[in-house]
Amino acid sequence: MVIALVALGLTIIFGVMDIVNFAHGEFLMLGMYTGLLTAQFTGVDPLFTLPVAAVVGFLLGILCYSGFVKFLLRGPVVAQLLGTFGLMLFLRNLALLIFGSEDRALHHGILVGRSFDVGMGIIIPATKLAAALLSVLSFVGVWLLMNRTKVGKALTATALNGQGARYMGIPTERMNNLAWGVGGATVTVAGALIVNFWSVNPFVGILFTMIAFAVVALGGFGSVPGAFFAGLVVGLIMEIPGLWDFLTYLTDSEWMGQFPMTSLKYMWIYAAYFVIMVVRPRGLFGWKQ
Amino acid sequence: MQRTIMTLALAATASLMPALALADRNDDPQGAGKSAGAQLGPRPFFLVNDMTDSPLKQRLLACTEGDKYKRTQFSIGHRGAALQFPEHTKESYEAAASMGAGIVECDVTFTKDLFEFLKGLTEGKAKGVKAVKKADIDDLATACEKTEWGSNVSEVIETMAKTYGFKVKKSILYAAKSTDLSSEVGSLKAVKPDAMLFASYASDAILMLKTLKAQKAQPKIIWGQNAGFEAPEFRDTLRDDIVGVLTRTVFLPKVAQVKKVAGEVNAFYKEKTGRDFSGASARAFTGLQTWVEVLEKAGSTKPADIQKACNTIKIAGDQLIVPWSGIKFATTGEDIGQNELGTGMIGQYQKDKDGNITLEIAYPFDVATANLIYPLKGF
Repeated sequence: MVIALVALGLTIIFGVMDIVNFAHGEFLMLGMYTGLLTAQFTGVDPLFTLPVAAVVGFLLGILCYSGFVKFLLRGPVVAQLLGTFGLMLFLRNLALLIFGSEDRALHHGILVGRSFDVGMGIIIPATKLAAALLSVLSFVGVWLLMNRTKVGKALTATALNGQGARYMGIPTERMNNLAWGVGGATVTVAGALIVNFWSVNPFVGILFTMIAFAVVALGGFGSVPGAFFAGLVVGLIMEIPGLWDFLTYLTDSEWMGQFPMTSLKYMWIYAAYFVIMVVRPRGLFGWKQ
Repeated sequence: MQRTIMTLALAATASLMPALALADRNDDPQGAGKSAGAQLGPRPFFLVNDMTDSPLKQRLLACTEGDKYKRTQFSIGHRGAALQFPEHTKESYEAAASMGAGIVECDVTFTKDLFEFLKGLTEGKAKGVKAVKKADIDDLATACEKTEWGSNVSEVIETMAKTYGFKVKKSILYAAKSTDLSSEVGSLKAVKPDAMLFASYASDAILMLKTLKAQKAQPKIIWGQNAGFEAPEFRDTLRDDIVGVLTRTVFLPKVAQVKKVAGEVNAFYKEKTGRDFSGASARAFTGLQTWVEVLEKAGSTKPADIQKACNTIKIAGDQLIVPWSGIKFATTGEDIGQNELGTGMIGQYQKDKDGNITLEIAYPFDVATANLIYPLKGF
């Protein structure tokens, strides 16, 4: 679910702009720092820092677009790829300069260190539960925005055919800004939420976005429900090794115990991604070829 | 196009390095015997070896025949041929040898200490803890990162466990720098181990402990192979959650309490650098100290004299800042060249009177600075 939330922002930006934002993970990292530092300096519960993170993310998205990415669009596709890659390196090293390389974590908060025992040996950490709820809310919100409002229609039109949309009087430039703003806000909110459980360092972004890229590709580039379902699928795939070992213990099976399921955890995700790419190149829910 | 140029430039730089090393050797008049001429560097050597059999391969291999490589005891390969092949691999060791390294340095993992510690625990040697029944602590589970270091630690633990009569019920190699370790923790919990053993760097170590807490894991012992478990941020981010967690280390400032010389030298070091010795710097200091003793004893810089001095040197434990009973190098057997009197340390995170989390010495037992917390109180 957490990964789904990270993937949401990525798919919005890609859907509207046709740009793969390599700096997405750094947005997540900055969201984590925003949540952490706001909570530490103001003393409020980290849960209430989410709106602050949303504002920071929205502004950061717009700043990155109008201050940098806009100019990249004039160049070839390679320039756009390398440009956001450069943005990634810039933001990461900026964070390294400001915050240092050490891991930091929160110690107090409603969600911090809490989990719910639902029986049968299943224990759900509070942060993950909150992330799941927030994912559902964000996805519904973004889906409503995209499908039930004029702004959403304008965004979709810009995504499908930018030039055509411009002829129809849609302010495509503003739509691009909005896409980066909303994309940035969803991921920084995800960051502020996950810092309740994870520790943060300037290099944390890439770990999450590597999987988020697979999620976006699995679900279909630009598809909001696709990102949601693919996020769920990937989350389930990641739990397979634990389940496998649990069954191994129950059945006391020799060959199951020998199989290095845990070492191959991430392989299954990319294997699923590979299969989908071969069978259905546009992803589960994708409409872009 | 640009990418191609960059790749070519990188390849050229990489292939130049061994060539330069060879050129240096060929300048050496002793090395320029009758066999001097065309030689294979470590990379081509590896590639040629990898070729399918053919007359060409035979001719190329002819370059490697005879004593082409002048070896010297003063050329030391760090974990094999670092940066050219993965560390601690057969290929890496061969490459180091073909570049003239007379010595290949391998990382030493004192995992034996862990088992000496566990054994001591069953014999009632641990400070403040009565003898524990072996059956209560003999089920082990390990989770080490899937890197050369982590895999190595994992293997050593399995081998040592057999020697000492412990059972490794689950041994996981997980993908390092993970975003989620809940399935790994699920796997560990499934076998209900008495002790959980880890080899991780800081971010994974922190996430592992947080996940163990979230999943309410209840092992009696949690032990880490230094690295992340010894890192300052491990303590700063997890605070009270790590009370009772054990980590292997080489030096702790607490050594000063039991060894006068360690306290004095650490005070000098702190005055100069502003911080306490860490495991790595304490080891480096001891290494240098040993060299000074060796050179004084040898009285010359001739390799034979130095070797003789190394083989006969004996430094007493009270002259060292590390908690070893001394320095004496083994001259025979499997441990040849290793310090026979060295031991690692195991520290335990505990909370002091002021509420600070400190590392107390838990092993070696004779220098323990606090009563051992056993079993772990659980999260």
